[in-house]
Amino acid sequence: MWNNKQKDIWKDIYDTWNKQPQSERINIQVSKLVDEFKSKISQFEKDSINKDLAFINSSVSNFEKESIKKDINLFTTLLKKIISKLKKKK
Amino acid sequence: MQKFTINTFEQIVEENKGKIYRICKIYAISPLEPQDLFQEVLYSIWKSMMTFKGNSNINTWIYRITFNVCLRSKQKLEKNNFKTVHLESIQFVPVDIPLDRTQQAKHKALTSCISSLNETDKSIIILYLEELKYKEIAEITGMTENHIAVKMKRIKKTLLNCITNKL
Repeated sequence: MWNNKQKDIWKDIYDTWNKQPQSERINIQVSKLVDEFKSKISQFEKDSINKDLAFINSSVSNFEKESIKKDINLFTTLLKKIISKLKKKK
Repeated sequence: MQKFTINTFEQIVEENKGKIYRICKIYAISPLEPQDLFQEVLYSIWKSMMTFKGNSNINTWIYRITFNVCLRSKQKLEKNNFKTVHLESIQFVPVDIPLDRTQQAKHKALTSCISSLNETDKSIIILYLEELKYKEIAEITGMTENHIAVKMKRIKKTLLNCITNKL
């Protein structure tokens, strides 16, 4: 349970939060703001997405290169085996 | 699904800009300014407007976006991944107000004590001071009402001790 002094302090806290001194007035031109969101920030997001895409592309192409190398090695080994078997048959 | 227009966005912004900025001031840690966070919040509201299904109260929705942006920005800042874009359409005009030193000291102490709480407690006490009911706080934070009630007892005690020591 709260004693009276604590209740007073709590009421004070409450008032302090809700009656904050307004040191700044916020002026917003909403239609201009929406235009800015569409232009400036979307450009920023496009840049960010492009960076991610470049990263994914580079990662994927590396992955693909590795995968193709493995396939070529497998084919080469198989081909060598077939050729050697054919030679033996002759 | 509610249909949003620029007018709706304007109404939301005008009605909520004060409380959004109050919260941004608590979460802004240098070099991040409250104004940067405020811009980010408005951008997130604008982006999320099309997907708002009206399942929750618009007030609750605004708070949820505000807290998400503030917490995400802090994480981005820690990873040096927070970039700010200055928007000309939002202007913060200094207001000449008569100095009430006592009120200022109280406000400074309160801000400092709230900032010292952990992230969860910080958001709960802010929402409580914003006069939201436990049910609404639970909806925003994803906790149960009972959990909020238990936490509130502890937070109030911590905050009272902190402020009493500072004043």
